[in-house]
Amino acid sequence: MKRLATLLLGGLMTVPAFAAPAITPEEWQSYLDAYVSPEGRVIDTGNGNISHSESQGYGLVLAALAEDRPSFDRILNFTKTELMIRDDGLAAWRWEPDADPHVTDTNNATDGDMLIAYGLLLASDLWGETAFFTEAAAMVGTMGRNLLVPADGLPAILPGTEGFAGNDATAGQPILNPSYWIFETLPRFDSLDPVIDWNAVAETGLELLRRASTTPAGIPGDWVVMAGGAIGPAPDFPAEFGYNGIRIPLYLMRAGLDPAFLEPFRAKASSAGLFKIDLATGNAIEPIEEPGYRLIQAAMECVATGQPVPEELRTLQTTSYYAATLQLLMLDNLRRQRPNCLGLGAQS
Amino acid sequence: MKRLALTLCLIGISLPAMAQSVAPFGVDPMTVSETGPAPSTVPAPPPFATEMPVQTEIGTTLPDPILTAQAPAQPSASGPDETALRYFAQQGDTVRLQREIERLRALYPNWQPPADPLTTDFVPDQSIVRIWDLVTAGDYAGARAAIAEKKAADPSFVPTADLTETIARGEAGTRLRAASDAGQYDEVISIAANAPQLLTCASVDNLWRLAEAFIKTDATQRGTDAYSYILTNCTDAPERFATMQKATDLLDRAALTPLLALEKDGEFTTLRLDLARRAVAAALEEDGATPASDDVDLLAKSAMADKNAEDLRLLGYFELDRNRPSEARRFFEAANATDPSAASAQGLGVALVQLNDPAAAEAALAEYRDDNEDIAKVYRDAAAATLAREPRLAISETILGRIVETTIATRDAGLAQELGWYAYAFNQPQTALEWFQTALGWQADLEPAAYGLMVSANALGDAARVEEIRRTWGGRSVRIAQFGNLTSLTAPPSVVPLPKPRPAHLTQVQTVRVAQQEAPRQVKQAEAPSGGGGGGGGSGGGCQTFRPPNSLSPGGALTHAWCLMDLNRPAQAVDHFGRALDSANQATRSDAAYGRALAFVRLGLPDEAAVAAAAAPLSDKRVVELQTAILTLKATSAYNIGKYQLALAMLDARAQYAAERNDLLTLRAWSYYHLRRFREAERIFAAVAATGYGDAVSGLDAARASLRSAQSQ
Repeated sequence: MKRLATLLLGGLMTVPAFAAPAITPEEWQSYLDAYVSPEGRVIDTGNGNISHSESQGYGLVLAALAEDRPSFDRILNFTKTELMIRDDGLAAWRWEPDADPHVTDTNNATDGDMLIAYGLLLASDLWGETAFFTEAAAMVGTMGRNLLVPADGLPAILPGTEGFAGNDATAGQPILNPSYWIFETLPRFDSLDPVIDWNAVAETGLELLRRASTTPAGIPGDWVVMAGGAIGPAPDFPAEFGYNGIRIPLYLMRAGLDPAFLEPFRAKASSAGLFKIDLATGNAIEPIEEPGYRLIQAAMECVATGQPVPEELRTLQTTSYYAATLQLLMLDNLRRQRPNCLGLGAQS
Repeated sequence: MKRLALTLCLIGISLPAMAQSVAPFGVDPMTVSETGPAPSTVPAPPPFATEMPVQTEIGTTLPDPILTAQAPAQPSASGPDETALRYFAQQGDTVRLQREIERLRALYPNWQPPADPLTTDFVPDQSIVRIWDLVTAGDYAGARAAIAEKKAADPSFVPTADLTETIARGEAGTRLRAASDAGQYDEVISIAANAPQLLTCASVDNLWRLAEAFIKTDATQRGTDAYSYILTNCTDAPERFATMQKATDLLDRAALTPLLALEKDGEFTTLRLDLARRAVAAALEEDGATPASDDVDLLAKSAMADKNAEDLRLLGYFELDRNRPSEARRFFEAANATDPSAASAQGLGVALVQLNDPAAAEAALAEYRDDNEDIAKVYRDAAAATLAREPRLAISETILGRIVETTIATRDAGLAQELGWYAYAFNQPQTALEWFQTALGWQADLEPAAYGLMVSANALGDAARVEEIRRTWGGRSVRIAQFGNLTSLTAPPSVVPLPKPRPAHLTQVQTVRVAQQEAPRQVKQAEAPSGGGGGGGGSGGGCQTFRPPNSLSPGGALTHAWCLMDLNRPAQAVDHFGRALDSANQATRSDAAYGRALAFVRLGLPDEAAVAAAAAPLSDKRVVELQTAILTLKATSAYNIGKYQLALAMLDARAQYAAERNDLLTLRAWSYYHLRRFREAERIFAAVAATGYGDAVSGLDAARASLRSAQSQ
């Protein structure tokens, strides 16, 4: 555990002081124009124009990284009034424009809640709003008490309050989503709540990747179960690495974790980019090919080889909400921490 | 209003005038005052109010008074910014105008408010005007963004408390509605507790949603309190009515009474009536609760006054249901007078039949007898009762004509048989004989028709036919077998069970045993081996071990089911017979339906038995057997719950299938007795007592005693 704490804290380089936001006003504006409504709703254009706690959480994090207080306030307004209506103070996971009521399923998605809390913490740091800090601390407290479960004996993130506790088919082990380990948030949460060991949760996330590295595919499925010292795809979910999992290398890089964890993901990519992977065979199913995703692959290459990312991936492409979101998060990290990957000389 | 003022005083606010009320969940006092001069003194807050119309958990989390809660914006040397003040003035928002004046006075003691805030010499800060425009339009996200923009441009800018409070209140309202829509009721309560300013008569929807949240979280009394608060304090008539409607949907009748008491000027008359109507209608449902007599009276009074046929019929059926047929007749007659229709006539017909006036029923129903199957059935019952009435009525040609017409059109064997007896009673044995033949042609196993045929053949001196009927029917009907055998009338019955003290003690088990012994054993032995549609899972060694029905083949399940019946486990047998119904084999299915019906009979569930019997075609013999058993059950259970008229009807129906045993004859006699038809009771008790049946002897004594006392009065 001590080793991990050192690893996380020593390597932590999430949002260091930076003269100007790493996300430019122009590209942020194009993101707002494409995906954020005037009411502050962050719209998943690839998914029937719904919104979810995850999209709102990404919106808050990005608005804070772009240091855009008006947009942050808009997005927070929508998030709080329309989604944070659960009795436990967390967010309902989905908001549908055409449904009445718009929230028909009040289950939460834990990564969405983590992103919202993290966005509030970034905003609190940036603008000195104690109210944001208080709200984030309450959410983190609730998550720490209600949404951490033992998985094969290790503290793990339950993906939602309902439906993931596991059953006979999982030998009673919970169903997990490895991409819900947003590593940069965990040391922050740990410092907020003296009772919950969020760093141990981070260690579980890495353990999960270690176990996956010994499977045929080398990388975890989007939905997994840990049992008996091993990891396997969750029953009733496709045995695939896909659009969920592509965030894992992004989160690893943003948290500044050991590049060795990136290697299995890098190995499954090719010069053409990332792929959905069949976990049983390790074979590629189909490419994941928007520029936002390709930047993640190019960044892994840069981390491993020093090869700068291709020129055309250095500017935001608003192809879809999800790809653009990941691209901005990746660009933010490269500009702050890895200018060499953008051909800008040595790291500052 | 007095109560509200008191409540507000209790939390430390005195107000010169109030036009809008606020629920004291913890109150923003300023939203309450609409106009008038600023209060000259604000008394020190006394301890928190304990008497509140609606209490939430939030008593201790009252928001701080706005005027002192927030650090004032730093006064600038140049004097106050009057933008907001002028804005409110332009909007005609006198509440906010006054508050802004008070706020600026607190900040700038030497400042004087402008004599005319509407003068145009003042150049407002357009960015603040814009923010207020956004707030007024309900665009709180936009307002927040605009405030952030203004702060970025002018770091010294501090929005007024009024502005931030207004936005927070608007956001809380949106959250409250979203949480309520999503059914997150605890959260609704929590939001309301933290934003009590939402709970005003001006936003009665919020109060409704809070009331619903309380009720849905089992805090019914608090929900009732919220409605009560609205009805005590809010004045908008349509909203008051809607409040009561919502309460009606969510609260039970008893909880509504105190709310209805808050009625002003008869505003809830239609609701009260609707509630009464619901209560009466609910009584007619299965296990329905008895309505309050006030409700019945209210509905009756209104229905009679308004000549509302629908309500009159409802009341009629309600009275029938509680066995008050003459009250029922009064309502149905009123319904029929205002709305002469099949629906009115049908109710009237039923009431008249129950009042033992079948001829009047027949007359009321005749016009509508072809309208629908329900009324046709009631009509045929009335016609049959008219024909069967003792002493026989002289029925006019016209009426007899339409009864005959209906009988033929519907091929109603029962009615045909009654026509036979009617003709026989009027000394027309040839006509009678033809009707009995017709009845048997329509329903070959109709014993009373066969008996009638025998009687009329006998009257016509056709001894050959009498004997032929005895030969074909003797095995099925004691009275046919013994027809003409005078000794049989007095011979002690060999199969009749021992005398019982009261017919009410007839048990289902006894009934069932009779039914069971008649056939199923043979059925099991004769048919079960040939049954079975598929392979797999025979019953093997008996049925002591539980086998899930679906683990057996249909044929196996059938054998298993009969075995369970032998062990007297009818509830389990029901399921196994059900499985056997899956068979492709017609004989197996028929056997299964029969067995299942028998099992229900043994469980004392006649209605289920009747349904089960219809699941597959049965032989006539089994139909008769089951019907007899089912109707016996129905008669005894009707008697047991005091529905004597129904018991008699069931016995009459049963008599169509089998001769009445002594125990059932005694049941019939006791039924007459309870209906105070002592003479008929006495006649039957006497006949049965003559056979040495003990229970009948005590009944005979009782009937004679009642007759004597009736005569002596």
